[in-house]
Amino acid sequence: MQFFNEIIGIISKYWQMLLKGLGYTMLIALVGTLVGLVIGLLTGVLRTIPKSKNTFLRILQKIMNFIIAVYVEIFRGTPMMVQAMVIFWGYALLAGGNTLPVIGAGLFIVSINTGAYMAEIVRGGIMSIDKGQFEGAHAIGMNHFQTMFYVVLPQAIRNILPSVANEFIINIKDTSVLNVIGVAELYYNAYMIQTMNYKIFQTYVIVSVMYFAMTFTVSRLLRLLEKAMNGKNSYVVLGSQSDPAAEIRVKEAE
Amino acid sequence: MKKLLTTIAIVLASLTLALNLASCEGRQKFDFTNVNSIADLNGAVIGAQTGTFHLDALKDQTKGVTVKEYGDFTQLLTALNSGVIDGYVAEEPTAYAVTAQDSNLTYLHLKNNDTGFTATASDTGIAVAFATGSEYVARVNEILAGISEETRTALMQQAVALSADPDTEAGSPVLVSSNEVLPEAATLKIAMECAYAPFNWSQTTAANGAVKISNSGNSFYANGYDVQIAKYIAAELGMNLEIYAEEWESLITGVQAGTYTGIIAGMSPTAEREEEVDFTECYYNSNLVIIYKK
Repeated sequence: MQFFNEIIGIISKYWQMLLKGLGYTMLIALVGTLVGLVIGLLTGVLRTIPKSKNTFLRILQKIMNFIIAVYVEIFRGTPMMVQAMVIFWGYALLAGGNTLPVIGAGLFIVSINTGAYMAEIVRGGIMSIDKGQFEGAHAIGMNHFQTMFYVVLPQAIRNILPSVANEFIINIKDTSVLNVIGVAELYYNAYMIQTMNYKIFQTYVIVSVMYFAMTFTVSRLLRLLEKAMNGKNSYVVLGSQSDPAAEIRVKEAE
Repeated sequence: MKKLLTTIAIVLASLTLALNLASCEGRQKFDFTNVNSIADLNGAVIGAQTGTFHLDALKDQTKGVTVKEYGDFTQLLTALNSGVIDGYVAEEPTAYAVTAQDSNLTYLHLKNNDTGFTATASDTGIAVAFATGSEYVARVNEILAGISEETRTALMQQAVALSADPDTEAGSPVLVSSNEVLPEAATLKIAMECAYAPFNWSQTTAANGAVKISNSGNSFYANGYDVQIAKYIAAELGMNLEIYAEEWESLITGVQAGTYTGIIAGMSPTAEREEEVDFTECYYNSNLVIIYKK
């Protein structure tokens, strides 16, 4: 019983800080995932450009692919905590004491880190699309970028949505490592609170519940988005091969 | 039916296991009753903070002691309360603050270079750090020389008293205060952990002359002996003061990078640190003691 009283005591005294931390955690995770997805889509489109016949363009393409590969391998292959320290303090040492704004630094680090993972996720998504889709798009005269934006990516995004949801959830939890550079996210605020009340266990129990509430909500919301992207189970196909006015009603079993 | 029975069996088994774990006696605790000096600590499990002289002294100067290191003082205190360690090394003012808050705790009254650890004045004294070659060192030395030994002791006692209930206004004026008028000039950016009572701690209000922590999303205020010294130094220098909360390991990097002007964090001017930054004269000297459970 004393335990629950302590929990209530911590919440009533520090709720503002906890909510503020939750807000920053959510902001950094959301922006980081979205920007990461954009980076992933861009690299995905660039990496799948067919080999050019022009020698100069081919060399340029090779250099670009090399840069993307280095980016993906480095940012996927080192811990985000280490990246945070290197980028934050590296900048401070180079810029003669000016620091990056901490929230901005946090957004940047999570974004490029997620981008590296998303590049691979999007590549997998594009690979999962049937070759016929590319051939069909080319057959009606689309170039590479049109093929990607109008035909391949809309299908690929649907396919990679579960992996994107994964990344989002991982980001909500992993923003906690940004406390090393002083980003006032949820874990940082919890750390500050436990230095004031000396109640490590109770404080982190509250915070773990808060993290779970965030990740669970996000996973359910993204499941709804997936369903919405699948479309309705019953739909109408307008026009058939013999009769343009025909309506074919399709109803899938549940 | 079989499934239900298995589930019940598993639940019962885990409950019994949990109860067993909860009721077990744990580790054999060390008895401090006959300890008079650090030589008598044989067999004890003692903790200290990573990267401090406390830890080095504990490792080098004791025999038969199991040394455990933790990142900060909250963890040391939690480790002590949960029984993971028998005691931990701290500066005497920390012991005052901790024992005042929790009557179950007490401390070994060790004296440096006598019953306690062998330590030079710079090992256990604490000083202000600036970037190597900084012009501030000489100016701050002059300012610190103006604070008498009695004032230092009294200020520390005041900090200890305030640390017990930091968010309530005590109404007593801070013992060191400057008459200088701020010309709204340059800013003195001071870094500290804000987690090392009574030297520096965090609180949620501006009570008792606390200063807002500039990099905490405006949620927290810092106070304590170091903060009051920082305020005094800034005022005497005619500068504005900004306090930054920073991890112990990043304090020196921050000053070298120029992000912070100085460190006032209960930091001792050890030889290794002297190679990285310049220290002023010590602004407090204390004994290393060991905090333990009664």
